[in-house]
Amino acid sequence: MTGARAGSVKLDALLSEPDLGEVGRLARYLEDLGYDGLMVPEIKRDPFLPLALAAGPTERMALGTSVAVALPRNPIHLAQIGHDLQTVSGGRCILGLGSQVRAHIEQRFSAEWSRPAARIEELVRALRAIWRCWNDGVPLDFEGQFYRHVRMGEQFDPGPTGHGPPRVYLGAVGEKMTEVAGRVADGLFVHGIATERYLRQVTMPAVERGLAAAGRRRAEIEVCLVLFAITGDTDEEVADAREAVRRQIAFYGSTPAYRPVLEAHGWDPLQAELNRLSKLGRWDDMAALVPDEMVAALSLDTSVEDAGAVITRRFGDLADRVALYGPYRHRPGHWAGLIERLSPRVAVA
Amino acid sequence: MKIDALVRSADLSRIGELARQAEGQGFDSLFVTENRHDPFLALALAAEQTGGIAVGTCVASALPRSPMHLAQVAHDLQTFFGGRLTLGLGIGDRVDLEDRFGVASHEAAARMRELVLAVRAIWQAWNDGAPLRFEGRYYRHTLMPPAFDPGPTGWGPPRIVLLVEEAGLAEIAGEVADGVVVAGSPEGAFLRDVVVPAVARGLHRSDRDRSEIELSVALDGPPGSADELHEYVDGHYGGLADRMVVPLC
Repeated sequence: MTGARAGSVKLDALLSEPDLGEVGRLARYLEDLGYDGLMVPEIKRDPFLPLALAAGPTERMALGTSVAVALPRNPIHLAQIGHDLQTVSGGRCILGLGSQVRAHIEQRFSAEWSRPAARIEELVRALRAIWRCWNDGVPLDFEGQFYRHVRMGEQFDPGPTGHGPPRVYLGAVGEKMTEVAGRVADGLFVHGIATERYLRQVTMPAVERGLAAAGRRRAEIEVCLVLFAITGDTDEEVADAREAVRRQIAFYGSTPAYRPVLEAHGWDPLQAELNRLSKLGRWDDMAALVPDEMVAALSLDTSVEDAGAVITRRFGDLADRVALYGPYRHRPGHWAGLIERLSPRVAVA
Repeated sequence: MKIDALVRSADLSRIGELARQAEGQGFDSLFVTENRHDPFLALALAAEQTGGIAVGTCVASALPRSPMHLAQVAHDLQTFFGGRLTLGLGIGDRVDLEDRFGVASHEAAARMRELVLAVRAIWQAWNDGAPLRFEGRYYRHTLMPPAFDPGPTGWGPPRIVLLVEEAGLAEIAGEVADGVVVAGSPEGAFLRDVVVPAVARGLHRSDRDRSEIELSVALDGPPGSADELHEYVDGHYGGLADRMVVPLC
């Protein structure tokens, strides 16, 4: 069953690189805790396999990628994966896609990088054309600038999902990609590096421009935030969590693609220095440069008891979904107390 | 002679049951093909719902995929399901590549050869900590920061087999793959006169011997009884093939 959640923020569990032999049970446990979704990023491992294994043991949670690396993948293959996950989950799939950054696309994936925002926009349109072919029997005839799909042999057509196409969400930080999400996506995953100030000054206006250009309404897109959460059972654990978050912020802060966020706060000189040190592998030195005010702006540094109120106050008018990110060892049920407070639900059957 | 079962349409809602059936019937492996469904999602479910039967693709479409993504998904299945994976790759037909996937189809065999080498280089980086410096004509993989390295599978790399339809690709398989699959119930003479000599040339080029590659024949028709199958196989492929792939249903 789905709880009625008007006015509340949905809470997703972020699951990085779960053990594929355990992920079914883990997903069930997270669903029983009350999480609204299970989101798997793509870092070291394939993000789709865990979702296929999580579908059977769960009934209610959205199952998504946040995000899968889109550009090296062929739209037919992405469409196939999304279609299969949508079918097996009974309509709960969120296909979250992101561009990654140039060095990774070219040097890690051996794929082409040019005009990523335009390419991803066309990729989303290509996916929808392929899904219309499979779900509604519309002949496939997609000819774009980057992608061409003009034939779908009967032997390759899986037929309808029975639940419509999966939702497509885009990961974005920069204005261009955020506008693309506003134009064509069902949701937007904003990277954890985005601060409340950046969200209000840059992200939301870009979403609105995209929505307006496509004649869509705000309700047609879900805005999903990732928040660094600094929590622990003891003062020592909280202090360790804060330092782990500081290191992670230093890592993201060194990435040129995220410079606009730092600029919004006047932290851009730090970006150049972090980038320089990252090339030397000096991760400890980098963390030491991240000031407390930056950690505070980027994280939820409060007790689990108060976190729900803090999220609602800071982001309640912006976000439709929130996922907490703790780059340190913690139990899967670590934030269970928060779920109750953030989005109280009637008893789950 | 090993006998493998092939599921042609790997519908995720049925694959677990089919895999258990194949394991129960004593097949050596469960293969899924790629036509209507993603074959790797199906293998995850097949492996999770069986005890230890080997699983694999027979085959996945190779050229529209990045070697990095192929390496990644196969590495994960190998890691979490006890080293049971065979990565079967095929080229597919030219028109399908161009019009369904919208990718180039020229120099397909040469690209397939390099793709296999690229996938192996990536696995070496993850399994053995070798630096990733693959620079070929078609593929370049030179970046692998520690944060993106999943580490070793604990079971070595998956086996790679290639679906071959002609001598050129059979020779490439002989050079770089762990196995060759010839589909479509081929004539014994085609195997003896074309495939086996081509594989031998490829083996020679990479300084390997015949024991280092397995030759499989995939039958189109249903197997009949086990005795009939063995009789048929001996009659047509005796002494030539190491494995048979038969449709499960």
